[in-house]
Amino acid sequence: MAGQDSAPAGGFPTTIKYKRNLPTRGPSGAVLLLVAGAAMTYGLVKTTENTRERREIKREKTWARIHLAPIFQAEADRDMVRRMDAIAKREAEIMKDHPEWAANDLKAPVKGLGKGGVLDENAAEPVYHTERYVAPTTVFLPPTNESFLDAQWWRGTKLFTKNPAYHDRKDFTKEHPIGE
Amino acid sequence: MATHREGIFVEGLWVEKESLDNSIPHVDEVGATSAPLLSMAYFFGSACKDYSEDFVLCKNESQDPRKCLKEGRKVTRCAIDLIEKLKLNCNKSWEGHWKCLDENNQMLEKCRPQEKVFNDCVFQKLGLEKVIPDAPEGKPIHLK
Repeated sequence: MAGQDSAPAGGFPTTIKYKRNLPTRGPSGAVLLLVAGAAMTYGLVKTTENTRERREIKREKTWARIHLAPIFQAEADRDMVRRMDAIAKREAEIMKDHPEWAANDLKAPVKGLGKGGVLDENAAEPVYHTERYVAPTTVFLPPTNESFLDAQWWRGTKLFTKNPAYHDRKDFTKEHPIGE
Repeated sequence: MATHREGIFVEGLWVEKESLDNSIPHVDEVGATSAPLLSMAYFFGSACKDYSEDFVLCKNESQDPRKCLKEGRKVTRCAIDLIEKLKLNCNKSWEGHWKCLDENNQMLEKCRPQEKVFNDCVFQKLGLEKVIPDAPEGKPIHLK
């Protein structure tokens, strides 16, 4: 046909490369999959081995802590008894004119407390009725204690421990902060 | 079991100066730091097993600290006895192990050679062996 773009008579010169060149070389698809699978298997095996080893290391550390726990609990018990006794002593000192006051005792009857927590002048119920031990959630520590440990002991610095809006108020005194 | 939150005031940390009541027998505190305690943990577990078990059973019955003071004193005294025995018999190897632990963030897996020396010394002199409960069969992790 006239107008078609085709090779001249006798073909193109052999020195001109016009055919595409995409040789099949390198590993086949199956080989690639096998290599990838092998790498993944190796990685998975190594990971599981490492996970089991880390679990055993964690088991070792945990059992060491379990064995040591009674030492610390005994020490903490003695410390708690010391602190609670000191708090009860201070409270009894303050309330020495009221013989019916039971210091630091959550199971002592409270005058004016009725059943269901209502205000009842004649009733006196304890705060907790259970036989179990109840630890006080808050205790009073007198702020006039001389034995304070400086903030820099655990905090690293004494900077920014003062709050000027509170401490620099005109009616702030050491004995009765913020007025009488 | 939690103990307490510290009384941190603006002036500083509130310190309780009172000591225990005289009616409660006095016992010295253990006072050891974390590395020596960690290296002797398993030996304490096997040497003082009875006292620890008594203490934990007592704690199971009640959370009141006053109820378990007696068992707690026994635990503390047993720990102090063990520390003294270790210092007498295996002080050098013990020190080697816990100094290594101090440098390695208390990681037991980093200090196996020193641990082997210490464990052998303790087995020889005191007859205590390190056993990890509930471990699967095979070589235990500290002997690999």
